[in-house]
Amino acid sequence: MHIPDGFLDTKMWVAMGGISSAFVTVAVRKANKQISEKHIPLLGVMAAFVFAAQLFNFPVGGGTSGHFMGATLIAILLGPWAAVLIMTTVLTVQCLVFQDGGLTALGANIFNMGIMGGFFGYYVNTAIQLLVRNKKGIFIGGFTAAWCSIVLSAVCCAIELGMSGTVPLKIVVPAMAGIHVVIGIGEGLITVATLSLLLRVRPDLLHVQKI
Amino acid sequence: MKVSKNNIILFIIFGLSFIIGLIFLIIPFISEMPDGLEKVSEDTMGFLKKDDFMPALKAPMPDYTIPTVKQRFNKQYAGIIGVFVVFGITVFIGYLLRKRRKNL
Repeated sequence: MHIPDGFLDTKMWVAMGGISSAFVTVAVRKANKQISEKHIPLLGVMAAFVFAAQLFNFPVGGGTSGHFMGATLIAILLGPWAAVLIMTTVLTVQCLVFQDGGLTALGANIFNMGIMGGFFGYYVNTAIQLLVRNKKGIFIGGFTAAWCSIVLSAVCCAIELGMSGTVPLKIVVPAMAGIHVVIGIGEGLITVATLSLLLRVRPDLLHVQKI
Repeated sequence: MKVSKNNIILFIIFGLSFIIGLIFLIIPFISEMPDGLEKVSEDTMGFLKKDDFMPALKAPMPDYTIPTVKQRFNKQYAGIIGVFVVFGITVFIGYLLRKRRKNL
């Protein structure tokens, strides 16, 4: 879902760059107050994991593939602001080192995947955990939140493309939503698999103070 | 979680080894199909493929491939470089932003 250069018009990528900069600034302030020494290795390893897992494009049928996003996973483990920070780092490295996602579209990509994905995933998961208060809640919450975050990110991406005049809104929104309804299942499965692995080997990591 | 230096180093070594193992495991199975956004842009606009647009900046390893090196594990190496770069930057940011004792 990484938007390349040329897909967004100037007013759109400048606006998205501004919004994302504001969010990243707040994330830095929050992190500045809350990151403790024991957060640091976990932040680093989770960021590396998300980067690696994003390499894996899985087929979803119809000549299309999808890949893991990871914002929800990080938001569940470390909180939404940590998700914004980690996704910003991952997306920036992907853009500058691997040409995945355009430099002009970086703000939009951070907004769609990091901010919308992270926050929406975090709150969906929190709501479900309140309703289902046992181990099942962790998996139901993780899967649903991850699925929702992908669909929301895709819709945001589509709206930006539509408003840029690249493609008519009426066409691109249902098309992006439709494909990502399927890709979201993959996101949900990877999120749940990672959570259940952590629950087995390091259950304490699910109770780290959120940022 | 007890914070001892040994625990942290073990966690990092175990975590990164697991991730690097994962890279070698999954890269051969990566789907070469266009992803959701690429597919939609091809279908709805007909011409929009990533390559049709000039990127604003030339990255050293476009498409997760080390350009000058032609060898079997090219993508794997690119992936591992990425893992260390992302890990390094995140840990560096974490250290810069961490709560300092005098601030408590």
